[in-house]
Amino acid sequence: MSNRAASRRWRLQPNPIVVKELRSRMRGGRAFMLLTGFLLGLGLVGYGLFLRATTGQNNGAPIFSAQVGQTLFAGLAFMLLFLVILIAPAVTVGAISSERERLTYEMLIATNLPSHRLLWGKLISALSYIALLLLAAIPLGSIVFLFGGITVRHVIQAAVIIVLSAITSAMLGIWASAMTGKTGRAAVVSYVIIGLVLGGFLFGAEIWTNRSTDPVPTGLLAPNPISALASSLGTLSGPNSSGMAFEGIPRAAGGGPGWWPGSNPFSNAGLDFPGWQTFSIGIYPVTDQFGPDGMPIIAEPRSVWRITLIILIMACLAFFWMALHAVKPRRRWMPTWGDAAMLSVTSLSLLGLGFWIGWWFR
Amino acid sequence: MSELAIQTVDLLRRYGKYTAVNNLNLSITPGSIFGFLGPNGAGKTTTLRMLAGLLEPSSGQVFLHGQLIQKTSTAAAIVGYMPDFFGVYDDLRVWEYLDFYARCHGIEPAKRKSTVDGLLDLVDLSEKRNAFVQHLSRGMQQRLCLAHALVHDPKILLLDEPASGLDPQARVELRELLRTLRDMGKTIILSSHILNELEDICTNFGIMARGQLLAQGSLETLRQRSRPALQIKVLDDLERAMRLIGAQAGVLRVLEPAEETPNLIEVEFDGNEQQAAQLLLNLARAELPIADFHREDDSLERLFLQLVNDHVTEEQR
Repeated sequence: MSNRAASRRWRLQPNPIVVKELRSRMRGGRAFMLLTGFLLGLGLVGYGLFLRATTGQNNGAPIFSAQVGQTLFAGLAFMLLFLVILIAPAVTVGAISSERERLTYEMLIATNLPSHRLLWGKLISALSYIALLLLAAIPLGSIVFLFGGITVRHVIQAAVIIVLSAITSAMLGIWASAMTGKTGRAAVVSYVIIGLVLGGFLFGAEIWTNRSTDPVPTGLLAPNPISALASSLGTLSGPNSSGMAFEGIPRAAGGGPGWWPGSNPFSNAGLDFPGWQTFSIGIYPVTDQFGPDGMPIIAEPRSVWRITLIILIMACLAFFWMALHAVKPRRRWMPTWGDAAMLSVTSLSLLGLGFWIGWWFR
Repeated sequence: MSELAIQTVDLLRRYGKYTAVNNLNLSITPGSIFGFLGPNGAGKTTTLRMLAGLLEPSSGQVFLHGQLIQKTSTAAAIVGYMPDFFGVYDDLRVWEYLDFYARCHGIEPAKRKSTVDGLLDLVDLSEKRNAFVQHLSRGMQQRLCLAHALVHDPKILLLDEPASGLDPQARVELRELLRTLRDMGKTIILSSHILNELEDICTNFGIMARGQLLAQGSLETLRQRSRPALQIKVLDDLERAMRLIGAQAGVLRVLEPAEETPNLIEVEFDGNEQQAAQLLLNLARAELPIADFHREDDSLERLFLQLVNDHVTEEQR
């Protein structure tokens, strides 16, 4: 059977790596224990957020149901973001290196399976497990709909940011696994990079706001999925006791762009959960105008999440490309026509998309 | 290019300054079992990996059934490769393990089950079909690994130390299996340290040392290169015995006794039986305590040691 004929044949078949990984991964109790722990953790966080959002009621303050829904939604969205970003590399750091470590790698690459199918298989099998976690979280997450206060647009935006972050995070794990060849080393590399991206950029934004009155540069916000999610959720509801802007519900209550917290009926509560102030740092540019109550008018949150999506897609492609070459047994770093084609199509698509929608300039 | 199963042309592989394989020219005919011999670090595994397309040669070419190997996928279609050290996937059943490799080779779903069943039957693991691979014995795992290399019905099998770690019973079974595969028309390259076992099943041999192919051909061809030898066990007065032996007709060289056999003198000897008898008589007349006196056989092991020692001595000069 010629190579081409073999390729044609298995192109129509399920990816062998996915079949094998799903067969072996779901055996035993480990996968189910992780799923149970994940849901329990998420449930506990949700319950904690609910208690926190309703504490004002015990003091006699009015609480809007929508406010509880928004706080729950935002809190759970952040929780999910952190969990998938942290779990995805844990599932993928052994993708290539564990094959080397348990001496199955040579047998695998000595088959007709092309490198890209090997990597896709590893990525899809890892993501399918993460997708299982996310799907299992849907019933829990759907509780927020009982309270209201969120729109479908916000749900979709948050889902896109979380899913793309999970894919990038999984791809980072595969890249580290292919490049280092050791699972332990790959885990260290992956989590250091994740720590630097999540914490480093927030820290940079914090320093910037402390030292300058200028808005935080987009370069410090856009690469960070936390800032991206905050910028998306920031339009949901806004001000807490520290005074932040509002868009969605405040507008319905008579507000609009250039809102000031004093006129916001939710202003004494808003999105109120631990970390929100840190996560949303640099997202709300303060203007030099003041409202009738003397409070500074705060502009709409910056839509950095759009640029984040592009950065995540590009990071995914870069990680995939490097991993693809690293797993090749021969002529690893020799550029191929496939590389050139991928680079051209990706660059043109991103440029076209960016200019057409104007994402680069918003 | 004539239709040899395997041909290498000036194959060379360097790791930095170290040359693992040095201008290797192999010619292996279809349907033969080629025994690849050499001490540790001789370059056998490196050669097999280059033949399997897993390692890029620094220079030189590999032809498999006349096809120049430039990509792993080209070799993968022709070759079944069993590495010297291999692992198994935990939490997979025996049939799933073979099914996985069948999928990796793009075997059609309709054919996959019969392929897996046929291979399990061939390697005598049908009864273990639903067992988890990590629970198989070492010998069974070895047979399973061999089955994995056969899943796409390759013309050439590259087996790197397939008998290492096996008990005598499992070795016998493996030998039988290799004979069956030879009868199926496969060309097999087999590297091993267990020389007397290779002697039984291999039709051709290649002897490597320090990256170089010292000799290749059938056992008969190799035997022609072998120098006849005598082994003489002298219980005392070894120095006098060696001097006396060295002065006899037909003696080419007297080798120093090895540390582990301090009384055993090996003599390269091309004399006839008359001269051998005279040598023994002279030793007896000199009243040397001779405990043993015999001609060495033409075993593969002796030939192997002779070639390797000659090569090492030559390099040291």
